[in-house]
Amino acid sequence: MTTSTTEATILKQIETNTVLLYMKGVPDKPECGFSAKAVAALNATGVPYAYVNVLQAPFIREKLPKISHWPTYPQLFVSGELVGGADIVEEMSNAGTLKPLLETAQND
Amino acid sequence: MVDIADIKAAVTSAVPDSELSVEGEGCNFTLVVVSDSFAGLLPVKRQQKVLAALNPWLATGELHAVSMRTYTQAELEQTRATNPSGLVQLG
Repeated sequence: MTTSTTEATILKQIETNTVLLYMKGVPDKPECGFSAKAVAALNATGVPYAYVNVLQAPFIREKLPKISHWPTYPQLFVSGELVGGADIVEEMSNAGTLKPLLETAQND
Repeated sequence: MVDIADIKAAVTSAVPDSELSVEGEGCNFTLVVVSDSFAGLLPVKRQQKVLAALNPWLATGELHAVSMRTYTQAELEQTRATNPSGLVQLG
């Protein structure tokens, strides 16, 4: 996969999935504490989401930080925009702003 | 091994007039960064500013995980008012 195809793949994924989580592991079996936090917060909203296990996608894992200017995982995208990492997702979940954000995005 | 002084130096140079406290060791750190330059910025934009300063260590994996709280002065006062337990210390 050349860089441009990886980048194109990422941009397409972000564009076509309203709620998309780039994480380490899979929702049922996160491989990192931070990814687990983001998954728990997303599951609590009950809103369906797509995910990419970057441990299974080394090209994406290497390329995404350069596109999103976010160096770590997980990374949550909603309607094509980076919302943040585990801290922000958890903070929004605690503040009750995560669910409305996802629901509005879904209805757009 | 990243030491706290390096992190403080990098963040203070990247985020104007910032105060910060850093806890943690090895590759896992918690930062509390306060700067009025955050005013009006979404949390993700604030953290991107700080993370950019830490990129050299994050890229090499020397710094694996950083959890972070970002505040303007006003937000910090407000947080302190709402939980006087002093949850937010500034080193």
